[in-house]
Amino acid sequence: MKKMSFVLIMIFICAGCSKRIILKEARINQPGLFSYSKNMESNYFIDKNITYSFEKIWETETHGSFLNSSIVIYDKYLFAADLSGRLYCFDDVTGKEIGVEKFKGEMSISPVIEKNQIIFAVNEYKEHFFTLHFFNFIKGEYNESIEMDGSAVNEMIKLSDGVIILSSRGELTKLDYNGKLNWRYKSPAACLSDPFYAGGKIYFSDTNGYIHVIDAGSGKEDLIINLGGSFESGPVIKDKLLCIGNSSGEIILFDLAANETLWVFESKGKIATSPIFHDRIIIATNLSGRVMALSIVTGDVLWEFNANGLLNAKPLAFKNIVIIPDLNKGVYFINIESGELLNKIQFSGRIRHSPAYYNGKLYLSYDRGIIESYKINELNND
Amino acid sequence: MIFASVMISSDKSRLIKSVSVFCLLILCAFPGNADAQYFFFGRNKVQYEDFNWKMIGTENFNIYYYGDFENIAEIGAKFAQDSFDDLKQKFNHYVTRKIPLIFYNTHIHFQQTNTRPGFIPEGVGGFFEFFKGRVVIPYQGSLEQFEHVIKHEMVHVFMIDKIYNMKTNHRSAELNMPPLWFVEGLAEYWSYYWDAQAEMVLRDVVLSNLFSKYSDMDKIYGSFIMYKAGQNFLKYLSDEYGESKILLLLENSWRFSNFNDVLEFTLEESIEHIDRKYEYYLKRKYYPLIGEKFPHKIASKKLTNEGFNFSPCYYSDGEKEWLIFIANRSGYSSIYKLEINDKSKDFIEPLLLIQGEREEIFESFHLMKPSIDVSANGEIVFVTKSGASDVIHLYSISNKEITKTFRFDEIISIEGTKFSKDRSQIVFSAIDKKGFSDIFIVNVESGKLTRLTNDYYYDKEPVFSNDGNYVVFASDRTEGRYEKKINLFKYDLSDHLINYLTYTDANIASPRFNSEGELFFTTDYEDVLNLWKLEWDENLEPRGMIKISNFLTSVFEYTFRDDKRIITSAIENFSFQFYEYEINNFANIENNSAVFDFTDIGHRWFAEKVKSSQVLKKIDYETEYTLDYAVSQVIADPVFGARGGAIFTLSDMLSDDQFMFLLYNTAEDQTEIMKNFNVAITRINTKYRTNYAYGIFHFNGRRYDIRESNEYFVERSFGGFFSLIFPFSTFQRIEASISTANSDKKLLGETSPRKALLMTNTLSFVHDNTLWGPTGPLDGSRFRLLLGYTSDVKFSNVNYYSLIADYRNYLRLGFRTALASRASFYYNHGKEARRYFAGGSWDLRGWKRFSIRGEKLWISSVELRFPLIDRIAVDFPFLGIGLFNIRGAAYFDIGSAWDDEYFETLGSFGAGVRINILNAITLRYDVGKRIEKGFTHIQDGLFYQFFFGWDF
Repeated sequence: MKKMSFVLIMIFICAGCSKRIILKEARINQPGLFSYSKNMESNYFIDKNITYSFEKIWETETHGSFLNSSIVIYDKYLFAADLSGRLYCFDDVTGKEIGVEKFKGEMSISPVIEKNQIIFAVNEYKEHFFTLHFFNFIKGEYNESIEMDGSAVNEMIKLSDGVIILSSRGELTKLDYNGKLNWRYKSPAACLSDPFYAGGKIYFSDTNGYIHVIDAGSGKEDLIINLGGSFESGPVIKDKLLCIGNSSGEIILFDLAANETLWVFESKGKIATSPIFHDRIIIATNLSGRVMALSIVTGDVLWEFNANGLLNAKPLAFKNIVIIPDLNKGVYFINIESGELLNKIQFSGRIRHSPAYYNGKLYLSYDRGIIESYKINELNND
Repeated sequence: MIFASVMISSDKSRLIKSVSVFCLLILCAFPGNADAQYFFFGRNKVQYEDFNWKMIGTENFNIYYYGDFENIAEIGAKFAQDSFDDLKQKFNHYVTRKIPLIFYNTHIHFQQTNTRPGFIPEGVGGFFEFFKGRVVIPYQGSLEQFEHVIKHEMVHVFMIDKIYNMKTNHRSAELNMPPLWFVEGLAEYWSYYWDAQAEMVLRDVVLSNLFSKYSDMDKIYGSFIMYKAGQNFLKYLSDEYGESKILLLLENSWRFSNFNDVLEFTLEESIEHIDRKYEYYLKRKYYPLIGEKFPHKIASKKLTNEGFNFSPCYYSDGEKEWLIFIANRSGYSSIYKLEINDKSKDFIEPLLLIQGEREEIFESFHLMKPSIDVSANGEIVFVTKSGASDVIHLYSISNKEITKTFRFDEIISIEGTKFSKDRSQIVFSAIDKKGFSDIFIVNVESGKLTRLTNDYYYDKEPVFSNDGNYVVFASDRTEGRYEKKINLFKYDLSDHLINYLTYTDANIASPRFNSEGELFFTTDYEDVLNLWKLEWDENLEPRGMIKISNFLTSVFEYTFRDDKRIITSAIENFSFQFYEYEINNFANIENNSAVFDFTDIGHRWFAEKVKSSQVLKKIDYETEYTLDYAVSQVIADPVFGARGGAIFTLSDMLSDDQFMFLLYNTAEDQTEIMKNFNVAITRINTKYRTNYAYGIFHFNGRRYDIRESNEYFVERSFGGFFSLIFPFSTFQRIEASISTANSDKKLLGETSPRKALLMTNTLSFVHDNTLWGPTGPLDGSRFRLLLGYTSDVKFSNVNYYSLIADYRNYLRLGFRTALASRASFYYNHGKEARRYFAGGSWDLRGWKRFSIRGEKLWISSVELRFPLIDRIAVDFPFLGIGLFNIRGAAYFDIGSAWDDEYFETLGSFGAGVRINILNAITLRYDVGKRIEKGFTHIQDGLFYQFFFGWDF
């Protein structure tokens, strides 16, 4: 009887424990979705046409939820960092949990993957710093853990030779993939928006209304642009044009070559996400629930859609469709040419991730850490 | 004025915090009312109205309203939707559930709500209740304040929802609520601008050193000052560190259990540094004002020094000069008269003229609203709440009696009563069933009511001109450049036209004519409320205004003693006192005038209603029951084995109808499980004036009844009950109940049970108008008279009648000192009559708790209650403990209990200490001597007794 009790207790304890992440069978140099958005620019534009019909593949759950971050993928492994301080690894095919790394703090931004290493930030509980971990997921070992001042609330940029992280206190840091500091730049104001990489430069905004342009190689300040107001969304750049939305609801197009503002559009709602450049238009959303397609040339509204919710997570644009996540429990599929609502997925909780797309699959998540994977067909992209 | 409160609850514990403008301080400082409606004593929350509730459903709200209030309810729906759209952006959060928003069309109706247990003081202007996530708000005549309160409560809704969502997202058990100053400060900061009232409060408390830095927040905890200090501190943070930091304070709260750590982390500065910077900011802003303006105590003669004094009215009876006013100087609001030409002392004690708040006719004086006037012939007109609505009384000072009372069917609340010069008419503002605040005139002789205005503009504080040809009133009907500002208007009684008297970008109040026909008023034109006078041009058209006082803090109300002297009701050191000053004191004020520009005033403004496209449904109220709370427990008893039970309650959205379920099992082995289910189902309906409750029950198991022998017995009883409560007024009610129970009772060791089918009827009359201090009643009286009869209608095994007569009186000896006395007689007589019990800290002190038992019992006590220690604080290196309102008592108890033959009289005397812990429990410690052996012997040594419970 005692033995039976002991076995039952051990089974109970073991069932309650999670496995750590050790992916011994993972192959080296496999493709994936290595960072928030797919590329260095984080421009959230995917040059493909898709259908707006979808089919749910799997659903899985994390302990905590998310804060408009996103998942990353390496080969058949999907990683998600949650607000309860856990880094999860799931099987991308089945959604089954493979392992988890636990910390006492929160992970509010997406990890970055470089080869066999996943880099993620933990905002430490009861501390004034966060820790950037460099974790070898094949060996299950931490190569490096670096404490940094403030909070990690802005998405990292994955460069070819290192990773860029911008802390809440405005400290922009570049580290190589061994965790070695390359350079550090300090903004005088707090920063609550994602930095952007374009043409060898890092662009980021601060809460005092400034855009900082930093040389990605040296960390030297290249340019500071004072646009006024306060920014809680980051800039995006295309063809020497910088677009950004501010906390007053203005969407600003700035010509970096001419150093002048081309136009300002009043969106009537605070802007917390970066706009998206799409061919000849800019897609922008605001917290009042408005989606706007603006002409790059004139700033005129080409179409608009009112979700009536709260749009604080980054949309995902394809050539024909833009996918808009709404905190009011919905995800909208909107025709990018006309603004017509093509489809909507209704969830039972608030949408908590920026949508991610990889290999024909769309990943969405909502309150209580529910992650869902949907199959989406690509159209003829010729 | 805005009053607001929040009711917050965590999963297992509920924290109710009510805060109000100014009144909160009064509530804190003064004793309160017992709201124990369903206990042995207690006042009654009377449901005078049978509201026919309706509902408007929008995407984010279910809005409940009733009667003729639809128009304002739709405007309120628009305010709510606008605030939702604004706050979702400010909080970066979306409340996904529908928010119940319950509107009452006046505060008087709001006080009848069942959505919150207990009484709602006049100062509370709305609350957010967490159990059902309800926001409950009364309309008080002003659309602007309605919008403010809606938004204030919506900030609470968003904040609580966001915090709990963060808690879920982080799966954190440690996420704490921010401190109350932040909760209320943010609600004010994100709902209203920094107005004259806020400026006045902060200016006063900074200059009087009540609050001068961030670390002073603890000193003002729970007061209205805290609301405004919190608002000011957050405004300062936004200006100094950026608006984004405000939300970050909330979003970083998961990170630290101590909010000061959150503040340090978010602002990246130490608390000490933040404290120093804010202190410097406040002093730099307010200290220079001392050189520019005058404190009341410097520029005036202070007439009163105690209590909260309002609505001064000058009156001369030919011999003496008097000030007639409303004040709360004892805990009850009453009307007083003060002799102002008596120079024998600095402060003359006013005489009580009309005692308020002890009987239905004067149930409540509206202390902070202007509602009193005195005619030249010595007649006072004043307003009280009496039953379902306000009434106007006329009182003769010479005859000391009420001469007339006016009640109007369509009018619910009344304020600002003013006589015409010849005393033939009274003009006043009142709120009707639609929620409109309009101007009315009543003819004193005939009682005929004439309505002057009829719209949703906030019309208030009317006065007759000296010639009686027109009425001047304040209203937010201002158009054009200064839209919605409260200016003065003139209503011509001959052609019924309304014209502007003032046109400023400020709010104006308290218009008064002096004997020369000059029009005075108060306005926040510069900052706080000061006295100004209307200027006329050569065509007798209003031209502008000139300033005639330059006080640091506001003047609320005033009266003319003569052409040179004005008596004001003003705030200073957060105290409401009367001052007398001479107009010439401020003869040399610089920049003392303003000119009105009446050109291009524009068009009338209209309040927007919620768009019809946003209204999803508009229906009659449908009763839907949802869970209020559920508690369950399973215990493993070493003697009786495992047992468990649960209690849960369901109620409708308005909490008018409630079901309570009790379920537990007392089985001691498996064979007893089915028959030992104990179940009770009760329905309580408080929708109507007559409250009723009924229920059924089944109890089975081993018991120990202290009223019987000291033995266990097994009893199985099942049956039902029905009870009715009819309140005559807030202070008196009648209760009736009938119950039937089949009882099979067997003492352990006995072979056959005593069987009975018990039928019990009781009838009670209860009176209670007591005023409570921190540990028990201090003033007033209360009594209960109960008659009952219990019989076994089937076997005649039980048959007895009951009588309870319990009278308690509280004689006020000082502000916080009282002599309490009681005489109680409990009598059961008949076959198997139950016993009463006494002994212990609650009645016969010194005697073993509940050790004195008998079918008959009498107790009498006399107790002197007095304050002992107001505050004691102990700071440990790791923790600080503060205890407040420690009170003392000296007592004498006497009583006895017996069955058939009187045995002996017992007694005790001594002294004790009582401490109120968080208004939830009072701890009592008594020391004394018993009087023993038939009252012939005093105990050797002392007894020491520690227990809990309120004073009798």
